[in-house]
Amino acid sequence: MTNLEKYRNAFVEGLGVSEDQVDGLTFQAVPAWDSVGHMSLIAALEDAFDIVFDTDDIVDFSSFEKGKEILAKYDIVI
Amino acid sequence: MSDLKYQQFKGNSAADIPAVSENCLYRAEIPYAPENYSEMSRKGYIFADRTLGVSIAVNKCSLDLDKMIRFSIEASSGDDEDVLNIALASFPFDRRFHVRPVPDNEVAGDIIRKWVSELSEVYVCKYKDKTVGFIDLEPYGDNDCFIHLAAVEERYRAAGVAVSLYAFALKKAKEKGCDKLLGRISAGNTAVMNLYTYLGGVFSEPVDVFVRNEI
Repeated sequence: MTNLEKYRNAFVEGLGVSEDQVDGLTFQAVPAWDSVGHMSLIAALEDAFDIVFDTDDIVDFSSFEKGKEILAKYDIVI
Repeated sequence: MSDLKYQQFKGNSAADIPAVSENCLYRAEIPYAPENYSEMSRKGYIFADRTLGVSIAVNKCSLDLDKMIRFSIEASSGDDEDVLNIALASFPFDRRFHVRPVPDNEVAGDIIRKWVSELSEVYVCKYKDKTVGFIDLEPYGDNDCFIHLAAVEERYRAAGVAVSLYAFALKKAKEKGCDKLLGRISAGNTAVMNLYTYLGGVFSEPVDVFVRNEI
């Protein structure tokens, strides 16, 4: 599985959205991306890439695109 | 400060609630029952909100709470002003504080100040040395804890601060040997409802809130 596939799957699993909703998704654009959804997404990404996000990155993780930039800090290229 | 006197009543039915008489603010709580509405209307009230009790069985919780607590949380010490400011900004429509039919920030502000001054076990969430949220956990009955008030600064509301605070409260309740972690929320507050559900909360005991009909 490619990193992009893992990344997309984490959104589907963490937020419970369908695959066609994932691209370009932003924080609170869907009801599922609330406080609980955000932490589920963070947990799904940490499991998928075997990383632990810094608190700053949890706060800054505001969109599908921003998440790619944040993951690059952990040497994960999407 | 609002000059209006404030009276609050709790009863088992509309029959227990006095009719509005004085020129003051009224708030009444009674368990949900459709037959209450006409009598409450006759007594000068209008329906304002429905709240739900929520209960989490502490020992049945199998969540990894430490993994959910991603922000620094500590017992409040000198954070009273921050806690008050977050509370004042966080409840624009909450019927615990808005006791007029149309939300009135001056009246609500007075009630929030009183609530916050009475909190006894406050934990604050810090991010970059700034207080961004708080939760108050009170003993309830012989062996339970009750979340009396919690709020998060708007910018951090969906960034995991609320999850961290509620997970922390559940961890504290476990450490204290509580059987249940209890709360009461507005039925319209789906964000907190989702949070309690995520933590294993079960909802029950709907209570209707009425305020004086000034319309």
